[in-house]
Amino acid sequence: MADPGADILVVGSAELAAPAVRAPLEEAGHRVRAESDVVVTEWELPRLDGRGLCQAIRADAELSGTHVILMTSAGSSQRAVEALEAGADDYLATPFERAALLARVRAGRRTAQLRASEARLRALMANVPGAIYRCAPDSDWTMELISDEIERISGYPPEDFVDSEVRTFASIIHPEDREPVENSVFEACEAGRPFVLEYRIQRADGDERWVLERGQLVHGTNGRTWLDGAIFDISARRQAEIERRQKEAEQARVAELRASRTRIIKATDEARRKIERDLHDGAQQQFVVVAVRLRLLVSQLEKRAPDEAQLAEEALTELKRGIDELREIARGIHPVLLSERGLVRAVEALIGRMPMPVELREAPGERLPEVVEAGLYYVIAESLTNACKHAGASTLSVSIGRSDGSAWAEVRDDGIGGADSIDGSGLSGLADRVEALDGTFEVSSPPGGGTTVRAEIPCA
Amino acid sequence: MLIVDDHKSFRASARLLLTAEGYKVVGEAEDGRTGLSEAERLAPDLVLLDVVLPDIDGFQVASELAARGPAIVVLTSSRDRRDFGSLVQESAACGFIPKTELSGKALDALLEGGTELPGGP
Repeated sequence: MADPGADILVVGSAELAAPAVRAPLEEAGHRVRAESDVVVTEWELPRLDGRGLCQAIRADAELSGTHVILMTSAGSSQRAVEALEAGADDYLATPFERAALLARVRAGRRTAQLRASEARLRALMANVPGAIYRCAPDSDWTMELISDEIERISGYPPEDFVDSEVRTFASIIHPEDREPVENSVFEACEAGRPFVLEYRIQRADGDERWVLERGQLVHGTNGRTWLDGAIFDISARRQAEIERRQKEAEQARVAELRASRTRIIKATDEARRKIERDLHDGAQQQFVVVAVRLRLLVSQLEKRAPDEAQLAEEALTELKRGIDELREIARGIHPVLLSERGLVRAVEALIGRMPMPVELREAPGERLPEVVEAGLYYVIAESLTNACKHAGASTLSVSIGRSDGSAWAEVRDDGIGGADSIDGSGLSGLADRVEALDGTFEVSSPPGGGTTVRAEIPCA
Repeated sequence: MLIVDDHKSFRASARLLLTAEGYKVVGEAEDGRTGLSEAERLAPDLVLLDVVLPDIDGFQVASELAARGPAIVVLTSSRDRRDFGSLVQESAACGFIPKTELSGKALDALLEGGTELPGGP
């Protein structure tokens, strides 16, 4: 690619040096104009002399990269010193040779370009949301340079760390993390791969911060090595992570709690079912057999010994009463139809045993999960019993239904209302059972307005 | 008659009682499946059938027996008739006698009254 030439500003009087400078530069392909990488200026200028011009250029941040060449009269080393001290980068004694001018301008341009790229790098470093550094691969992490961002992260100015002037970078790493950081960095360096670390630092104000550091070992000339990398403040992310984990743990705990409550309810149901079955298959069967045998005894004694037959008959009557009581207890523990035939059949049988008529208004055809059926059954049974005993109702109804993602049951009477709150009544245990299944339990019982008990339990 | 019940001591006692009261017990079965095959083999006039059996539900056995005919099915249980809601009434059986009420007389009464019920001969 052809050299596009530099932009050069020539400052001077038209009669004197300027044309002599301008012509050879333009002939060499450079452009002489106002925005420039290189300024070639005379010392003697109207209003502002060369020294003033240099100072003005150096004071202006945007022009600070400009390479300034001051022209001085030949043999005046005093002027040359003044020029350099005023901020000029170079001087050119007049009269000058064309080749010298062009060489000086070329050199100046290189310097200006280097300055510009350094300025770009500085701007980049200042804008990266992390501290860019170059440091020695030693245990102190002696900084050659570190960008200003480190002050925001650590609370210490970058100068503190350069050459470990005030403190070493290692000194702000959390004591517990210092050794792991050192080990990880040296291991990565030895393996010739970059490192990525997360560790804690202690800020100037005593706070702790989490940082993410990426970097790698760089091999320079003459066997010199250093680390180039960047440090990012990740405390916010880290905090969010901790909160997320806490939230997840909390959610898991709640889920486990729910699951365990459901398991407890299921285990209770299972235990009740087992007690009922054991009573039925065990004691009740035994007594039933005794009853059949007693009846046999009665039938055999009837003709031969009517008095003894009478005795046996009485014993049979007593035994049957006992069996009835036992059956009543077993039924209260768990109705056999509930597990065998489902909620609706069990409720139908329940209604058949009630001392007053009960209307079954609606009922779903399908079976529901066992734990849901049991929950709704006990609510219905207890509510019907309460209504018959206390409500003084003339009509009683039961509704069972499905709604989106749940099943519900409602027992309604037209009695005196004013039922006590759920607490302290037989309903409180039922409310607990329903709520343990994440369901809702409501009692509405305005005085004189009848009572409605409604339970809703989620089920797929 | 055929007695279908999973409790051996009940079968034995019922056999004794009903035999004493004039019934002829031709067989016993301990579950629904055996009950069905024994009914096929023995062709009894009457099957005394426990509602809760270890394999097939008594109501289902009753409906299969009724479909095959001509045996009359009488359901029995140590539970109360009301424990089964309307299932007894809806079933193909001629009637229900609680085990504690089982006797020749009870069977006689049921069969006399029940000959016109669905499921009768």
